[in-house]
Amino acid sequence: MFVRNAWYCAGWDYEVTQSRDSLITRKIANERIVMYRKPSGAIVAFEDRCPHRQAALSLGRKEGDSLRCMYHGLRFSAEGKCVEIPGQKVIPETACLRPFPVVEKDNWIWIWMGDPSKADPTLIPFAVGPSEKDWNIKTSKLHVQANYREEIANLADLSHITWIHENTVGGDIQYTQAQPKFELLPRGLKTLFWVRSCSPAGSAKHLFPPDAKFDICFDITHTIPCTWILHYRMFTPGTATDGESNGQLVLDTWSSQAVTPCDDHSVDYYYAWGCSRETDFPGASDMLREATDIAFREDAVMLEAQHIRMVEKPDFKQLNIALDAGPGKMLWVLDKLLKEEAHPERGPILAATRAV
Amino acid sequence: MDSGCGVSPSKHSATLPTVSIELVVTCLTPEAQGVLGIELRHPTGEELPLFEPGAHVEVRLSNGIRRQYSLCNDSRERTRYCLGIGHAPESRGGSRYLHNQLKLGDRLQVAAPKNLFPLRQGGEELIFIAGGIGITPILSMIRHCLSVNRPFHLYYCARSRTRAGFLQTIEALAGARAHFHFDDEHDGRWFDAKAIVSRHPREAHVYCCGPEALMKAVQEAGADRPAENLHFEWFSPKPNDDSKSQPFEVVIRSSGRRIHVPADRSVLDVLEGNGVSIPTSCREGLCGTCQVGVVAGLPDHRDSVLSDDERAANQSMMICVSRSRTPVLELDL
Repeated sequence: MFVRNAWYCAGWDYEVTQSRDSLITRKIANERIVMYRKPSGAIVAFEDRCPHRQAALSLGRKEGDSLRCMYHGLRFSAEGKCVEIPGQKVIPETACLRPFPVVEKDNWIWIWMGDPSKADPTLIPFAVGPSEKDWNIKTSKLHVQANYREEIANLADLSHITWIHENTVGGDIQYTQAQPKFELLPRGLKTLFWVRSCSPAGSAKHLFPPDAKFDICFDITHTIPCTWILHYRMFTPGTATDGESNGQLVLDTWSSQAVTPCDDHSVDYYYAWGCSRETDFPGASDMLREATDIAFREDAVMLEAQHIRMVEKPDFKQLNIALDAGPGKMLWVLDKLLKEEAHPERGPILAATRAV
Repeated sequence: MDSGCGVSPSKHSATLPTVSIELVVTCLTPEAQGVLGIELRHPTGEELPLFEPGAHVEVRLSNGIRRQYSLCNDSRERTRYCLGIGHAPESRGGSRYLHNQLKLGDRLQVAAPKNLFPLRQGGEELIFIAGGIGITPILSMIRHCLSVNRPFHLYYCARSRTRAGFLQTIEALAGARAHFHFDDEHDGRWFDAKAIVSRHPREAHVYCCGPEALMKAVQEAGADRPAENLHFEWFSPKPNDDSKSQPFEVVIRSSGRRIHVPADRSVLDVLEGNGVSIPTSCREGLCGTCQVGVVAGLPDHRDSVLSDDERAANQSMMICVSRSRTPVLELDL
């Protein structure tokens, strides 16, 4: 089940080039998509399926602004209208492709999977991409054989970094003791918490004395389908036990992550992390990218094994624990949007809750 | 008047491990019919962790059960903890075990004292209202008041004189400041909380511990007073005991809307039925998704998410299973 009226991340802007062969195919929310860049620079996206016999247009050829199917040669304009059927003079009105609205923002390609008339660019989540000049942001991507709900649950409860990421981006037992403050958003959840007097992350431990401690702030905005933007800041340990640390800012970073469901059993994961120019030092932002590359493989191993079991026993009675509040809230928001799309006649479901 | 479930206060076991010490039973005293006094000391006579008036300790019994009991001795005493245990007829094992099986010289695992019923510092008039075994935390408060020469009034009620624990101790300590009410000496009539509370100025601070009916009566009697002047040590219900569920009203803070919650329906169900939508997941008090802030009234916590301290703070609740101890509960929605 996927929310249709939403912006889905279709990749990094640099993946779609002006090259002759740059016809990029994706599966997003069970739809096959083909994308290419017009000579003018704008990206167009269509269903990757020739209306004639369902041939893959991504096996086709760019011709100026237009796209030719390389099975029987049908050619389509950048608006998706068929403009040539070799061997036939008349082109039927129905010979056209299904176009998808596309916007490039923060070096990400965003694609609207629902009703094009509702494609509102202001719904694209805030993110910090590699072209932000005050930040040294490094990007990467990964494919994971899991359902996106499992990714949502993974990202909405960071206590797992104590365990899965013991040697990379987590490790300290303190992450399990964090008391997140949640704030419900119309299409997501804000989560804020401090981890105080915490050991440095596993992959950076060697940079500091063995007893080094930091105050770490996690300020997260998570939106549907699964865009996860983290402002992560490290301070020397302060004496404050509530609110902003009174230690010294050591590292100021943004991590922008978009998990795009391909279908019920896989996701594409586009992510970035990096330091502010002010707190960066040679190799630091690259270290963060390396750490996430390893860490997200660690997640993938766990999530893929979990997904196999979820599919084996869909009715298994799962235990709930107190750490499930974040995943519970975020999945509730997803289900709420799914219900609203399934029953537009009932109107929006207004969530009545404040930060707890 | 029933002496409640016999422990004071009775709370859910702490979820986090706490450091505990092994103490020896050095004295067992029958304090009244159905009330057992227990004195605990360190095996080598060492000093014990400090406690404040109103504090309790968690005791782990040899049959594995954990129970919380108020400390009733003088908080200046450093080498012993004294408890008073009421015998609950329907005991789930705690008080029955202590009353029937505990012997001098037995050892008990005891966690460091915690205080969820602290006595405020200050000069205002103090009114103590104790019912049955609820006298135990009040007793340590009285001892403290006498040691610092702070004025107070004590109202102590029980079903009968023979069932009122520590009666002679209190008469000796408090003299004319102690007022007693025994139901059987008033043709079975209960203590008149309204009449008693109204005798004292609004600025007085009321500390009440006892059976739920008594505390509710005191709460109603003080309903027109500042909430911060009323202090209660609530008995905890058996978890998810729906047979005891009562109807109540919830008020939505943002709209002022009042919604009736019948005894057999959860706050969550009733709110959803009224078009008030709340994030929820497990719907059985386990996951914390439906946590909601509490503005006024006292929740009856029945979840497995909140810690003892969070329960006592009463600032939020899980509306899928938790209910209300007060007729009206205002939620931060």
